[in-house]
Amino acid sequence: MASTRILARLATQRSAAAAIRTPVFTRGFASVSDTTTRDPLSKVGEAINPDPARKVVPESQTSNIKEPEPEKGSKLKTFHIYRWNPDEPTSKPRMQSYTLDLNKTGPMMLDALIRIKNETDPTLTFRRSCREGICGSCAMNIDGVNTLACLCRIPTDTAKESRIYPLPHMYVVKDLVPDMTLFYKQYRSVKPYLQRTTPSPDGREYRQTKEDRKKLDGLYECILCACCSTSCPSYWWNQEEYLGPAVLLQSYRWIADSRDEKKAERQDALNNSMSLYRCHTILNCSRTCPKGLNPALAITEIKKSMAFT
Amino acid sequence: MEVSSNLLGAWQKARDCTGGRLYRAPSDWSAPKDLGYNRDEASQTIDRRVLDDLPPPTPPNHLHSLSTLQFSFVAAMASVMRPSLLRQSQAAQQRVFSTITRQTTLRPSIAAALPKPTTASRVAAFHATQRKAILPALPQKIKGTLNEPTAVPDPAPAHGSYHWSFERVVSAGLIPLTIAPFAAGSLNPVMDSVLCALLVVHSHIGFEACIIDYFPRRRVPNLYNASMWALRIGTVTLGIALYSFETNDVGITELVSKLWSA
Repeated sequence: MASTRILARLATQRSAAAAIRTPVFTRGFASVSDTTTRDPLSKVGEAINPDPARKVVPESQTSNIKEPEPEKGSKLKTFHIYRWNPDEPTSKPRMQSYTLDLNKTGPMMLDALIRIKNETDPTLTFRRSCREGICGSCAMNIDGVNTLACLCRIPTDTAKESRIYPLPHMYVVKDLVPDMTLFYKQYRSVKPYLQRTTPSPDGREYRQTKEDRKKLDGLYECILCACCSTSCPSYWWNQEEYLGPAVLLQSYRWIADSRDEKKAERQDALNNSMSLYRCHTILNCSRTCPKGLNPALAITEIKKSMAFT
Repeated sequence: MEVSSNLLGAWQKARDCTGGRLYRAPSDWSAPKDLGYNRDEASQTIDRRVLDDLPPPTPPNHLHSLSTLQFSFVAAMASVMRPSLLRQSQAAQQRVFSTITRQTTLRPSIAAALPKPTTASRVAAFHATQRKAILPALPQKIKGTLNEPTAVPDPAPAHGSYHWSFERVVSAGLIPLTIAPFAAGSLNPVMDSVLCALLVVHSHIGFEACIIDYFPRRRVPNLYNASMWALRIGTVTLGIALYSFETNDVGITELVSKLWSA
């Protein structure tokens, strides 16, 4: 009896020792840079064919979650929502259908999402905070347009079905939640803060004429929801190097600021083939901006300010 | 930029579940519903239907049928690569079943012992067909920690602002050069040669931008270099061709006006 116990302990110890690998081959806890080791088995198939049918299972092959208590004369509208669960990394993303009574739902898409989450499917995951278009959390692709769910009215035509996806060409964390890490890191790279070395003449705040202040209108309102960046084909293809409209607009917000003294450095940081000049004035950014800003104009202003210099 | 703790937790959880990789969702979201899946899905449904219509293959207990069956299995395997072969193999199998195996009956004990072929496994073989995006999104790699900025490249005005200014000057210069000879009605060989030179430069810059956009150097360096050299060779060839056309023949302005009046 004792010998079997010893043998069992030996066996478990050996397997435990085998599971511990040297730090050379495993990823450190805090690092996110070396992601090549510790592949799950499902990755083997992907190594052979990097993107094997990671397409969405269409809603015709999934279920439809109905309105909990439909009444007579209810305006039932169907929403198809992109679902993907990181807890099941091998399962394909799917389109889940939800039917809601518009009479019991608020006017905006975000109301519909919150109602679905509250009443029918608590596993639905999305970001939201302010519900009034000032935080930029609920950016998603609704009926083919990147917009904020809280600023997007539900089309009252119940015959048409709405389709909601996460922001395109972003890595998905879960359901409608994209991974914004790279976007924020890019934003950090343009140093979005006032840089100056000389103190103000009277030792008080840095003053600005009304004309100089006017130059910042249309720039400071940006809430960094990433709707414009993720609508830009150039950003889709080259987002590792191209900064994207949102970050470039923020960069111009500091280039245009009369109080900032590092204008030349800011311009130099953009003066290469990829960071700025992958913009081909496609203008999807200006078209989709839920705040009505014009990132393409800001990018053009940067280009103009750097021309022939 | 602060990342809230539970978001970070979710992100790390996702990262751990996927082995440190986050997946990028497919690129065809904004496309209409029917566009994204059309060709592959259609061909697959056809294949699946063909397979489902087949009777479940009975294992052979007859030596005479082996050669035909072998052919059909080889053809079925080959049809993984060429779906058109599938119809042949299906026909072969049906032939086999109709002539030999339908008449012979298995003993129940043997039939129970043999593994039952399932539709799923047969269909799964056809999911192994190559469905490749041209440049599928790789798993995400973030360099550095969340709180570090992305690397800022060194300033290179030759590829940045100078390049852009030059490109704009060339593009703007092409407009009057294209209109002027026809507006003036006179054919100046100097103006013609300048137009040719600008055309060569303009097209070179345009194709170069396409290559940089669609064959990213970080992703497909060999293809990038090959296409860049192909572009340079093409540009030089175009230049030589236009030069000889200008010197030995009528020149492009005259060519266009002749084509116009022809």
